[in-house]
Amino acid sequence: MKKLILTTALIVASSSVFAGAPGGESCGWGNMLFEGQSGTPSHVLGATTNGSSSNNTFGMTSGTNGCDVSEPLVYQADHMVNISYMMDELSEDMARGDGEALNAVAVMIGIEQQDRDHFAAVTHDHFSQIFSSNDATSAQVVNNLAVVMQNDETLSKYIAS
Amino acid sequence: MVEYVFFYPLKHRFFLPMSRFLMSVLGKYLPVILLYLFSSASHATPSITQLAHSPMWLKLGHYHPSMFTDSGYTSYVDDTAFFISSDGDNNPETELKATIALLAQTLQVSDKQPCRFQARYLWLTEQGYQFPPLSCPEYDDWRKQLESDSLTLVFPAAHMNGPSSMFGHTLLRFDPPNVAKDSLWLSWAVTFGAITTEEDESSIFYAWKGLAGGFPGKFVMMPYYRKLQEYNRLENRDIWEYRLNLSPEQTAFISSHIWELQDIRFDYYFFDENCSFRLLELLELVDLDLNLTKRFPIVAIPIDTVRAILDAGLVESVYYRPSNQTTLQHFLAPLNETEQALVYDMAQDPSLMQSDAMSRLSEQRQAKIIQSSYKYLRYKVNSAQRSPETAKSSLALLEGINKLPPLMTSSPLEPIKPEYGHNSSMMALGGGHQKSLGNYVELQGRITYHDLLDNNDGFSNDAEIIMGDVRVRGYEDNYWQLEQLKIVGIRSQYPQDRFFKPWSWQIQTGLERQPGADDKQHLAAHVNGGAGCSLSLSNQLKWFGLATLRMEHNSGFGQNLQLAPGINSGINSRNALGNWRLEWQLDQFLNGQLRSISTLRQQWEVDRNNGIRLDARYESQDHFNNYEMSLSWRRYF
Repeated sequence: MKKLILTTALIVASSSVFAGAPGGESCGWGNMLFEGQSGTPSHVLGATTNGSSSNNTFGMTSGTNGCDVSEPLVYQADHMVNISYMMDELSEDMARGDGEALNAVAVMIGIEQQDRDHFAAVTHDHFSQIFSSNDATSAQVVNNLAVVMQNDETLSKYIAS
Repeated sequence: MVEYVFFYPLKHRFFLPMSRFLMSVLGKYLPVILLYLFSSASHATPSITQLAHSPMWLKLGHYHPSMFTDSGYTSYVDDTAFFISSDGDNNPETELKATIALLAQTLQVSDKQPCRFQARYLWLTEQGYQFPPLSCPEYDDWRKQLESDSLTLVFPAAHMNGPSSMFGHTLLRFDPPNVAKDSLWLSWAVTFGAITTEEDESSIFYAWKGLAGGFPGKFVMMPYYRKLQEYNRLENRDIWEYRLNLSPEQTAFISSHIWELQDIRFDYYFFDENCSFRLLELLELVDLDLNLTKRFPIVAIPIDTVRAILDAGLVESVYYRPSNQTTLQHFLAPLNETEQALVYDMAQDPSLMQSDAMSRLSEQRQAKIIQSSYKYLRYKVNSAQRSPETAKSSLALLEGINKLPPLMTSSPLEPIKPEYGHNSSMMALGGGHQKSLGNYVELQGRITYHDLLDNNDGFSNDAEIIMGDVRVRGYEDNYWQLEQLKIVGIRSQYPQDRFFKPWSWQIQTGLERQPGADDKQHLAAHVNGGAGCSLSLSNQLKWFGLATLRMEHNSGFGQNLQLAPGINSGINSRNALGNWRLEWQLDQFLNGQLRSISTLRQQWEVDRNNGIRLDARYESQDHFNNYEMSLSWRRYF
């Protein structure tokens, strides 16, 4: 079974050392809640090209999480979950208790089908704990999520401490 | 070999978009000629030659008929990394021979790895070739990441206030074996687009290069949710997903070919060799005889490529994903004026969640208002930099949502599917009467796409995009003249309301008959543009008003080139027959001429691809005045 690891030890509080975090600097661990999307291309200009300004065009060099990784996001043989690029959607889904971002995160963690409703209910009930501040970074949110799951009888089995 | 004298051994890409149709006709016969030539040469191995001209090999090499190469073929691929043989881009046969040698590992080319050519390996093995087994851990990892056994064609439709994207876009999504259970958000999306740099984006030639092929085009892969964020959220485009009925084997074969195309460069052309055309090439791989691209010799409009896939019977089901804006509008629709005002204010001031006005409402109503407010706030700051204030308000609203019981709400109603919209080209035949020249017949042809009055189903009725629209008139005494040529016309007139504030704008250029200072009509060249706004007066009735600027070259003016500031205003609506529109254009030329044109138009939507248009027009300028009325039959094809 995949397990979500507690990231406290992994992600150093200072935002300047994310280069050391899994997936490197561009992995977005320092992304704050409600970051939105930056680098909006101009619609008028973009219209003729469907352009992409990235050199990183193919799957092998960009993991499921949009990080620059030549290896999957695995740390100490456990599964690492990165929500950096879907935090806005995830926060809304967890607040409501339902949604595709929530489901995607459940799948990434490896939560089995029969536990997914429970996962949704627990994260809904602990919304304020998981999204504890409007400046929360994705690393903190993953960490808070891991704590909430660890304190839940059903979900604790998905957590490797 | 005398035939070759007629063909310049020259690869000249510039001519290709225009002459591809001609070449595809020629292409039918060229292989026959070539086969004949090669089979009469005693040294050729017929089986290799035949194999090299098999539809599948040609598809795998992205070959298409060409008059400029000795082989009669050239590849769309513009990248030496894709070919093993040095003349592989212009010669399917030498490329096949080199491929076989490479895979049999009798050929050592330092920069070509057999692992790169997965689809060729698969296909040649099927043809009976036996190669040493490949060991390709990188490829295996990639396939494992892809974890897919079916495909979905994704069509993000036009986005509000951006009629230039009215053509839409297509991409492919690789779906996991258990679609219902797993998350489509994590599926991989493959899209073909121009690769640009920041430097390019600040260049005035950006759009032009996009049209003319100045950018390299490549396949790009990313998680599907990034695409949803881009289209559903950032650009507010509804998305249509066409789930294809391909087998896991067919899906695997396409995957193996996408691997071959990793980082491979094609030239990108907006009209023909675009995202949608390249995806059709990929889908053609599922069947030897499947030819989807032949329908698009000149222009590949994304929705037409969707239709081609539907017609080929490749679609299993269709799924609609409303944009964030559509969802927000759906949330707002049932709210009354006071509640909407509350939604609007609460986005600025979340403390209104605790107001008396809120506490009087049911919990369901409260939940709906807070969620609308949250969605509106996020919509507003969609492409803005993060600010601590909006982050604080956003979290406060989410906490408000979190405390209330879940909202029971329906999804936005699915609009008419875009493939049921009228076809992209149009021809019209009509008759009318003009004040001075009398009765006339009129022929009209339009390359593409949709004007504000055309049959409404499957289109936005607030945006127009016209390219290549020509009208020719024949008067009673058999006098024919060009009435109008619209090269490009774009109009965007989405109504503003409390929540949404899109600008209305327009730009048009071409030739049309206009009076000069001599009170006679001349064929005048013009460019005009305008900006303003549009408002909903009632459920169906909309008003629009724009300030315009027109530049006209009219031989009837003393000084031929004239500038005219002006006003464009009117109302448009729908009735039982179709869209109608009353419009007034006033141009004050700087030479003193004041031109006023009033038009009333009504469309009668007969069926999907037929319509009848009534057009009444009155124009005056100084001592000149003219009226005309016409009725025409419009056939979309």
